[in-house]
Amino acid sequence: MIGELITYLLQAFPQLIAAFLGTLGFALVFKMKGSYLPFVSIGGFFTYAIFLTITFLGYSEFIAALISAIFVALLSETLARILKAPTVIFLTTVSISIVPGSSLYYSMRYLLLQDFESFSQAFKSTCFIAAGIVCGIVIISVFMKIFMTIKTQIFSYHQQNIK
Amino acid sequence: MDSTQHITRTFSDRLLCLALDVGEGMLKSGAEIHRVEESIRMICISYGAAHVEVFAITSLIVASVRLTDGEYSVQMRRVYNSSNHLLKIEAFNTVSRKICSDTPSLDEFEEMIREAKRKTHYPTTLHILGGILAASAFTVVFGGSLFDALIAAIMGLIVVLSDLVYIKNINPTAKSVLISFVCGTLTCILVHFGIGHNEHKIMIGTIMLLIPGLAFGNSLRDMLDGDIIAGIFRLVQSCLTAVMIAIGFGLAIFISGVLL
Repeated sequence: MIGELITYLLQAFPQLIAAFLGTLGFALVFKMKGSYLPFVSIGGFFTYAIFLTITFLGYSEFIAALISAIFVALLSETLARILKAPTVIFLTTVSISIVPGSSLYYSMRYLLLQDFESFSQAFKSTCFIAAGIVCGIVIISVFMKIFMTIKTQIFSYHQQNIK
Repeated sequence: MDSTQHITRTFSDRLLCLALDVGEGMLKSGAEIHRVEESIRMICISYGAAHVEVFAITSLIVASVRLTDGEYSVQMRRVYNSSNHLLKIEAFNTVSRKICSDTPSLDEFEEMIREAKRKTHYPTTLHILGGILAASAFTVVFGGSLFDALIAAIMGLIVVLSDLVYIKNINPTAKSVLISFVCGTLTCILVHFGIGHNEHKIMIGTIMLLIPGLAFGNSLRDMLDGDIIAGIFRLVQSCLTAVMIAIGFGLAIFISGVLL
């Protein structure tokens, strides 16, 4: 199983490199600070690798998008704390490689060809991937909010004790 | 926004105007509503305001401030065309943090805003390079050949240049239909004459560049933060843009299918 996965990922290596370059390109289009570019591009590489791995293991696109988005959100929160920058900067650039541009195009194409069965399939896939990304980001963002609240409360409790 | 004309005004007027400058800068660059509102509130409070009310949606900020001596000011700022500028979000965030901790005089505050605007000028060549790289790379990601990537690079160049060329009073939805139509037609023509193998992959690469992924993600985060109106505003905006892109490409495919 693992051997097959590795061969699959090695086969997809050009695509992963392209995901790396694509994320870099988007970071430039979104006008990101130069020193953050390597982190973001490597993040894009791994995000797409995770997406491919999960779909290879036979899970649905929704689950794949969800888990890659959870990875994206965790990475962005960590980078934001290390580099002392707003989280949204990293979140939007790293998640680009799993945006469902392809299935959006195909759903439009099938609608034009009046192939409604394929259209509903492609459109469903678009919606599910988008929903997966959003769910992943929301889960982590909610957890971080709860975590930060607990952290600040413990901190203030400590300060009261010191007084 | 030039605020030199406010020098003779009262302290609260000037303070609120500068705080709104910071908020406007963030909102224009695509920051979350929560961050914008919080920044304006914190800046005003750190200068000793007794009461601050801020309400922001994607296209408007309304704010009022009351100082402890009863001095009062209400101001409104309409924000037109917003674009993605991560460097600016970060710079304004730093400015607002520094101001909250140091509370310099308002003249220094104004100088800091001007400095932040000057410092965040991004090289145009990098922007163009990014667009070309993004479009061609995503063509390869979705299974196009290197030759397809080359065509997608041209499309990426067109998309980025359309961002850079400032056309006055153009409707943003009309603009996205126009750009997708131009790119779609050009791709169909090039592929028809044997330049490029797979028109689908080239168009997908171009669509990735046009699609408002950032706005879509932000809209749901806004709603999560409790800014429902702003979230719906951005959600509708990004869905509408996606539909417009689909219409543009669909029209291009339809017309070139009839003519070629």
